Amino acid sequence: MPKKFLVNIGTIAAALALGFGLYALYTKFTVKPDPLFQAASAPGRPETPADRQIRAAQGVIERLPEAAAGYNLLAIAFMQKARETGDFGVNARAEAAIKRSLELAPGNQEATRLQANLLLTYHRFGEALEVARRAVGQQPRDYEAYGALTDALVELGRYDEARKSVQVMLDLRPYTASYARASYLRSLYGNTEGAIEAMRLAAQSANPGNPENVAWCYVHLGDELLNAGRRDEAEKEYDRALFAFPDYHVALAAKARSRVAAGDLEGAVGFYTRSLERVPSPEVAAEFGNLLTKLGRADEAKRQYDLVEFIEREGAAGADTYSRSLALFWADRGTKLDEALAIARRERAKRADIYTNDVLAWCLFKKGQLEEARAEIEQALRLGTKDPRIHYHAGMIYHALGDRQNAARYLKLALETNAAFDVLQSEVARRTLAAVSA
Amino acid sequence: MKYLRSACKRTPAALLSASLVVCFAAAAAAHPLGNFTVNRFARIEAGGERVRLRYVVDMAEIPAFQALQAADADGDGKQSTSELEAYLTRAAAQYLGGIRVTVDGAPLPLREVSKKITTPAGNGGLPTLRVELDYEGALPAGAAGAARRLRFEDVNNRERTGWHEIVVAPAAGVNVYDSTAFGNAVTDELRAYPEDLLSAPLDERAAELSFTTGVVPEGAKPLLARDGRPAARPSRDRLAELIAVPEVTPGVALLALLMAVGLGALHALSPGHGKTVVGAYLVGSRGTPKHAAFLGLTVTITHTLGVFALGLVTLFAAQYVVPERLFPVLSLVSGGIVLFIGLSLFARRLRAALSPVAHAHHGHSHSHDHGDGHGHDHHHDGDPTVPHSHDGGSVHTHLPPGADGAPVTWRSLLALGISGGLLPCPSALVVLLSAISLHRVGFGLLLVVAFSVGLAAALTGVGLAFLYAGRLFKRPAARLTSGRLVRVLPALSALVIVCVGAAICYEALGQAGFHPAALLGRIFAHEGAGTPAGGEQALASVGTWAMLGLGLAFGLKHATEVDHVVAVTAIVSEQRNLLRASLVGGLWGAGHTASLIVVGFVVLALRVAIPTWVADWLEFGVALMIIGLGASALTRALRRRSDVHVHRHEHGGGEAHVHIHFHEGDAEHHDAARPHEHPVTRIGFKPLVVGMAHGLAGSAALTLLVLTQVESVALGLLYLSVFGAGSIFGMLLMSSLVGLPFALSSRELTGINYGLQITAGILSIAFGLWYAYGTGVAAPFKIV
Repeated sequence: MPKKFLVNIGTIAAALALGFGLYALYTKFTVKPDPLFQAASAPGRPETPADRQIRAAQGVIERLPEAAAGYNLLAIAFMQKARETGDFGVNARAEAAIKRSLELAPGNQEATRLQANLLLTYHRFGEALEVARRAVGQQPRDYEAYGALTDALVELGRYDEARKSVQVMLDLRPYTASYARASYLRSLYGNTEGAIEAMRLAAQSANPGNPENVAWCYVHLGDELLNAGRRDEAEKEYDRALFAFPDYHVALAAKARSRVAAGDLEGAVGFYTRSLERVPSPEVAAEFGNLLTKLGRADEAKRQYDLVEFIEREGAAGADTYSRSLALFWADRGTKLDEALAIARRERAKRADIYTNDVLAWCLFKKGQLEEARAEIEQALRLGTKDPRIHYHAGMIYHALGDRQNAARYLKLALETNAAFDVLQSEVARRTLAAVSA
Repeated sequence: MKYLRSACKRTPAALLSASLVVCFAAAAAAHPLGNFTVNRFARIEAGGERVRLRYVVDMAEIPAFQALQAADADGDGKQSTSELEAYLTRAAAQYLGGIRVTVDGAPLPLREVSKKITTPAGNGGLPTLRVELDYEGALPAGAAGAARRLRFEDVNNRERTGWHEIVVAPAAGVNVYDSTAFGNAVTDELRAYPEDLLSAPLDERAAELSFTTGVVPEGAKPLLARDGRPAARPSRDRLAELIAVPEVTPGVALLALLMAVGLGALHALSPGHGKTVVGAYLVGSRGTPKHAAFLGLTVTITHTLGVFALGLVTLFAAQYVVPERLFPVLSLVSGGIVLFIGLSLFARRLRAALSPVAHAHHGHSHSHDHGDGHGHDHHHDGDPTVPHSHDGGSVHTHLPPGADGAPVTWRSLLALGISGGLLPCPSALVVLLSAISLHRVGFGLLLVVAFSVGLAAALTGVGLAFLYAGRLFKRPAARLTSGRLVRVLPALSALVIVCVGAAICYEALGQAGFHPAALLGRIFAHEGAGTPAGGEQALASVGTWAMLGLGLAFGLKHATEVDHVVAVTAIVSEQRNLLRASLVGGLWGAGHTASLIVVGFVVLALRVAIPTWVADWLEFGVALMIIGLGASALTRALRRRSDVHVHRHEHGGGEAHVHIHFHEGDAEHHDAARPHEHPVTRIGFKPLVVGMAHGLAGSAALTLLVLTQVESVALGLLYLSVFGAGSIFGMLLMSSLVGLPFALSSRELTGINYGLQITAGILSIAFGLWYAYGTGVAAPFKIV
């Protein structure tokens, strides 16, 4: 029986093969490539997931111009585009899409959640919290709404609530976004190993079809590893990120940092340059300026420092909000201390997260207001976060206060975590530690 | 799989905390993207002797600042005119290095004609930077009127985001065609960006185009504007010129009609008019000239009617239906008819070719119920051509229909004729429309009919040629190969019809703006990377018909998802017959489709979305079901082990049967000679129910993603049906494939069959457990 069966199968297979052969010949000689089709796919860069999402969303809008769903998809796509390119100007498009969605379906839950996400990218955390709470109230099982809620709480320094929120999110759905947030909270609470574990899970569960997300996870996994003193492993993660999403500006900057930590300063210059070519970020430009200063290339360093101020000024044009990082930048360099302190105080009035505490403490320290600085730095240390910069600031403040024991403790902690946490400041830390220990 | 499904359920919005990333404050109004974009505009002016290129770069504030920093040679913080000029000279040379222009494959050297730099004020009065460059390249000498292919690519600032626009402008007397770039600009050379924030910024970085001072080849796509309208006049049409003769005298009319017949015949000989189909059909069947003539008549009538109908549509319903949109649809229908005819012919003729003489016996299984309620699978070992009867049954032969070389059927001839004439020739349509506008309707109709007659005559001629060639060939061939080749020939010609039908469908999809192979290639490439979202989201960007085609493809593919295959394998492992195995797949598909459509309807009608948690629980249910199926398959296999036996026996009709014989549990082994009953392993409702469960679990993802993307409830349901049909067919194939080892081993290799069943059971339990773990039981992750 099987023999006859096999004969039949064989005949059909042969017939199909013949058919395919004829068909291949037919297409070879008659089917011309459609230039319009090529236009959609061939030239220039390959499409990224965000580009595909944008096209898909616009297709929905074309067919259902009165449905909110299409605009929500479009907003998601534009926000992803902003993340991929580092160009947060694209968020203006997301905003327009959300606005339209809310016009079509007032108060629809998805748009509400997206609005919370958008407000977060605009650093309007108080409003974001309010909107995220509304989104959660409308749909208590929407884990993504808990994501926005968690972010707002974290940025506002309400860590206990954030922890509860992320736990709800994890219970609803353990996946990349909830693992990543869990990792961040663990890291804030000083649980570096736990943060590594969670970020590994996040990276593993990330959608490989969205390389930017995958790369983001790798970079943050690398950062946690770096904080655990595992520089070699960290650098591997950065390489992995760059493999997943080539020329990812976040990964390039991270790679530059790990090159600095490895003592390969010239190598770091290349990565900083590439990162800034793609996205001129003030933080990265400031780091790069420090590196160039360290290398004795003062002219080039000055250009980077000017760029930092320009970006901040440009970004603040129209609104009078300078970012916290500008205050830190000025305080580190010991310039414009009054303005730096004013920025830090204004920021501190809006939120009480440990990084704002830290920046304010550092500005106060630079201004010589030590008692207030101590109060703030103790707030910054309240979670036990293993952040070398906070520890360095704490060490310097205690040193100035004459508390040699605490000064030595925190300076040692900072240098143990990452001896090259800042090319210029880590030297100050080392000198001060030597002086304290002597 | 759960993971893949969830990927298409929803695109994680704020997957990652954006505020952890470096962030810029509110967007600048001046630039389409953001304050660090570098935007570029290129206008390619194709001329007879030279190509001109206008190249504009517009830098937003931050890159402008960086550029001005670099321009500030003396470091005084200001840029003097000479510093800017020096910068411009450097920049112009640098940009030139990133512009690649080739003509007919050879690089075209460009030289700089003019350059200009300005610093318009941008956001907050901060300077931006604008560089305008003009280049020119002399074309190599060539034949007058020769067509040239130009390729432009811009690789400058590849790492920067921004608005990238390419425009093509033909110089006077030059025709541009087959261009990937459009003919009109959007931003007035980057001076005014569209205020519509909802569209994505342009990202055109390369272009290819053909241009000539001479005649544009036929079939070339004219240069289009961005709204899809031609930017230039289309090329001339010979048939349409006939209607526009200055004066219609009898002599002119006769000449015109003759020319129309000739053009029709020529048109029939251009690719894609089913000549091959006609020939192949007639060769394979016992066609006669009468049939060929009938075919010609059908083609003529269909084509004439088609042109008239389309003409009417164009005249009266153009605001509802775009006639150009109908062409691919008609092609698809015509291709579908051909494909269908081909497939059914092929199936019939293949059986015919293999059955009666090539083998003494045609292996052929079927199951039936005997009058006494004794139902079983059985297998005929005797000669199937011998008429015989089973007790209680009627007399029948097992000779396949058509095996004796069934004659041409009028019905399929008609279908073929229709498919050949269904697609109206665009020039015939133009003739009709021109005739109406010229008030020469009668003459126009005559021309169209003449054209159709020419078309049909050519097709009939081809058919007759095939017919006679086939007869000439058949006689000696029959002698040489004892008729074997002659029997295979009809099957082969049916196969040709199948191929042609497939090709027509493929072409039609391509015309609908949807290149199946390339699109599917991309989709599967993405899915390979684990994201069906990319593929299914592409739904929204294709046309309706293409979308339905895609639905079929997705349905086919959907059947191969791991959890589906595992569940069906568990059921199929209990079957020992290929037909039944494939029936299991079909039933699964039917259940799957039914619940999809029901849920789809509910979702659409009530305008509700299925909450994610419900979908998650349904997935979990599927996992439990798979475990159950595996357990059931396993226990059945284990219980049966000792009772499997094969025996041979006869019924009243005198036919010998070989049975593989399974007894449930404690059933006694009875004497084969005695009348007995076989416990029938019914396929029953199991696959149907399992399919419904799968459909239910998958419906959340599908309905959310697909139904929100199509324009109407009806279309959405149609898509789901097509998707369902695809999944039925896919699972039919899949379960046959899966059932093959079970069926093959069930008769003679019982040991292997037993092993296979056990393996299938264990595998599906293991998979079910893993799946359940992944979907429901995954340990809660505590952050502290």
